[in-house]
Amino acid sequence: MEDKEQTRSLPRSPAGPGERRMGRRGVLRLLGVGALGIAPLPILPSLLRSALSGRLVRSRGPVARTPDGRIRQWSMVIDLRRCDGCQSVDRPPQCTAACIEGHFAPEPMEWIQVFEGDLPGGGTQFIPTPCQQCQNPPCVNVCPVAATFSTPEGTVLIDQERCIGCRICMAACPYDRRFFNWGKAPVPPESQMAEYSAEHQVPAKRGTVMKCDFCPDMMRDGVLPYCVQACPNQAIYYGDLEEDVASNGDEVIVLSRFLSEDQAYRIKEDLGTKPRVYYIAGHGEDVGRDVFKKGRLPTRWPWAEKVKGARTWKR
Amino acid sequence: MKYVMKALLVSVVMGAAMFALAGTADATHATLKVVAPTNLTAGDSVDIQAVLHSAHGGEAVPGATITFFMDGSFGGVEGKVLLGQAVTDENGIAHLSYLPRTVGEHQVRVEYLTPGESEPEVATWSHDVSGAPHQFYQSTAGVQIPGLNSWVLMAVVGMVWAILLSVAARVIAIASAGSEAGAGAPASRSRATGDW
Amino acid sequence: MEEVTTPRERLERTVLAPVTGTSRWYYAWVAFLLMVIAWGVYAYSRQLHDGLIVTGMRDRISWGLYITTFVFFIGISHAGTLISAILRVSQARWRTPITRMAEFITVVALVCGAMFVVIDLGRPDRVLNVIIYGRWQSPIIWDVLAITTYLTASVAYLFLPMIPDLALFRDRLAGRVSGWRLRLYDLLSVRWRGTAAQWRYMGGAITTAMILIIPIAVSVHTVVSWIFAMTLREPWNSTIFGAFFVAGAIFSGVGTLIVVMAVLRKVYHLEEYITEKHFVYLGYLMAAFALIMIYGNISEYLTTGYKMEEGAEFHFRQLFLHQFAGFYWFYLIGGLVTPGLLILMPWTRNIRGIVVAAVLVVAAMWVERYFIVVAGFRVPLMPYEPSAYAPTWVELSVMAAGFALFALLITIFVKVFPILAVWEVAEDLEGPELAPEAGRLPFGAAPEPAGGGNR
Repeated sequence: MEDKEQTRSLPRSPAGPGERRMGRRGVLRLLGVGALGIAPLPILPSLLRSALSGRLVRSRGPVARTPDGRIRQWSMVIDLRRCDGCQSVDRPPQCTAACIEGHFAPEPMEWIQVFEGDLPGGGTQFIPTPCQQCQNPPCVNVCPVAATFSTPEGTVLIDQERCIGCRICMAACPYDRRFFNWGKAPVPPESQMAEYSAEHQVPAKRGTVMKCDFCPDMMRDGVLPYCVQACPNQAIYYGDLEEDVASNGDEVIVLSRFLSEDQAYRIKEDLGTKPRVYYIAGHGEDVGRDVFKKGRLPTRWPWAEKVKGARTWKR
Repeated sequence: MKYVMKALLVSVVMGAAMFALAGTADATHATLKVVAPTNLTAGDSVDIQAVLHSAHGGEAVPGATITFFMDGSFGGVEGKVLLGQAVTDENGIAHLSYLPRTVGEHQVRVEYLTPGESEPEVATWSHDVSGAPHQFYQSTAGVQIPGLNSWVLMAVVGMVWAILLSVAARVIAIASAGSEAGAGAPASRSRATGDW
Repeated sequence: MEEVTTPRERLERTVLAPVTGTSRWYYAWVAFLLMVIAWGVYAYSRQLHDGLIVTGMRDRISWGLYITTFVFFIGISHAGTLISAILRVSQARWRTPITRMAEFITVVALVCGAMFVVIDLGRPDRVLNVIIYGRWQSPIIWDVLAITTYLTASVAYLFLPMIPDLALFRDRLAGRVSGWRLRLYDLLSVRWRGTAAQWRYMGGAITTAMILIIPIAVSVHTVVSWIFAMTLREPWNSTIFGAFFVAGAIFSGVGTLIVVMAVLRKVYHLEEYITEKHFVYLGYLMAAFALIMIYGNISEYLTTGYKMEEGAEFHFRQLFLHQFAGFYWFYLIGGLVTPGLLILMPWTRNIRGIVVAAVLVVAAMWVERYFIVVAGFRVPLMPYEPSAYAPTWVELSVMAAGFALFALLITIFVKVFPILAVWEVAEDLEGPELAPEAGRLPFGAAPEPAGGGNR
């Protein structure tokens, strides 16, 4: 239709003798060059990543090994026959308190949290719940930038320098063990002077996710984590599945035997997350707790002074 | 007198013999010894046999609980590590399965507490574990299906973008055809409709 | 001077009118939208300053209005695919006056939707990490890939059939609009002359794009649903999420299209081209999809409720009886059943009834995304008391600004670009005699009146 009418477009000079016209071959050439140039675009991120990943593991120390060089496989066993929610010592749960102090965990984060679960006959049991350090971790699977990642020792860490705060990992975790820094973290000022590492998430960064990290920096040096040391009943065992040994601060045990003979189980096993945290069923009977004695003291965050401008939030 | 001397000599000789046989065992009411190889390979499990005989007649002591220990340390805690317990059978032998993991020289202590005694019978078994250290614990998460990986996704995305590119190229073709058609030049060769 | 107008001339005049004259109401409307957007920008600045603590989201319910609105906008973007691509593939002639609106709703909705994901980030300064460190295995990366691909394809699909109309603008509007606009039309019409070769290139490109965009669109809302369905939370741990969300997207897209169509028809006097027939046909489509959505609801809740796995009981109580009951029953009765009835009953099957149904549909689909996100999060994972979520003024302001931006972009689009696909409508009006040489239609066949035939 258009070419039948006098077009009223802007005047255009006809191509002079020296001027190249883009003919059909030119179009094909352009198409070919364009395809070559842009076709790698979808795989560019992978290329970039392999180019930049000279160091495979970020912001953390060397891999923890046994004396003869095998890679440690960190694991935890929580003996619920000994956990009474610290009722016997009349304090808030000490594992939580020690972890909060050791990591300056912002209020209201309880990286190891003592839940009170109902028992079939009507009583309750206390279940200290750290990050379950899954071997099929839903959080690692969904993270878009690999800010949360699995280590060779089997722990799951978070690189808060890379986290974009999309919170899909929080949607994915079935154990409610991930915590977000919604605002400026309510922590004491001295925490700001710590050197940040993914294994010791201090200081907290606004807009990123945090959680229990299994204290791999302490275990590399042979020091048991805060929660293990703090438990007054030595209910928490920390061990190495590779060397097949564990300790609760008091005694050293053979891990595989402990798990098998006391019929250890894992929380929400049917979800297939394959956690590294095992539990031995109980309700604190080994330390004399009556199953119907409910309630534990609420966790407190001991900072007298907080960073300027920080305010807490409810979970 | 001669009889007493002979009895004394015999008991001394027998005591010495038992001492030699039982290693470091105390010769009280039972003797305990360990039968197990001294050279092991890391990763191969062995059967430790603890043999319990009564001190006097040398007959087997069945139904006795023997405990097996090692000295270990972990996380700054040192102490006796219980490897397991086993009960002696009718031959007085208690079996325990043991999987050595760490290369080097190790010692396993075997103890039996005679009922009524305060001090246990102890036997030790020193052994040397050799072999190249390799990871025992394998994480088993996930299923590998050959060919099903993220390269498939990359290929699909790349293909879609290549097709979009061809569409963009058509736009360029329109533009170039427009500048040619300024003089009303017809297309030199006809193209099949919708080819791509 | 006597006005002898051919249909073609009337069409051109109608299409050129919005571009050449601007009423006071237009400026007032744009000013209002700009105010809403400015307020939203201020609210977002508070969020950038203080962090996401200014929202109502917390650890237990960590997504709220922003992700709801993101999913909603991506859903709306399926309007273009259905109308333009699917109806074009099936050569439904009645689609011609509305393809342009559908296509630009798609583009605008995608832009607004993608914006909300970035707004929801805790560290928007690190958004480039998605490109640098992106993991192919993450549902969020699938989202990024699918949405950018769909946006590119939609822009191409909006642009290609618009080229002849832009050439029309270039030719007709010289001297009547400002210089920069003429340069824009000149540039964008890529030297369109209407030659046979150009029609062929365009036809081929449209065919390619139209076939390609359907699977792209299906994949987009499927991967958006998989942000939820790839988790282990009870209400989201379902395999039908992909199909269900795509159906919901097309459903809400048709509803949005009807609403936008009604508004633009009234404001720009398009009654000659967009008739009751168009509303009725789109209404039938919407009713069909309402039935599909009802089927999806039955599928999901009957199978889950029959078994009552752990978490299902809590979810059923909160969704059907207590905290979210108002939302759910409004969605089901007000957003699925009522629109279906309005369309299927003859005495409400007119433009007014269908527009009311469409408004209900759009509102209900936003509500559905809301309770999928928030009620899904609320089911407790461990023994603790369930939380509550209440959006704050920041979230509401930013959401309002997002809707205002959607409206503003459409408003501006209508002022700059042809509101109808002139060449397509023209051939619909005048039949094949005045059409250019054969071979220009995508399938190379002469156009035949289909369905309702010519206007």
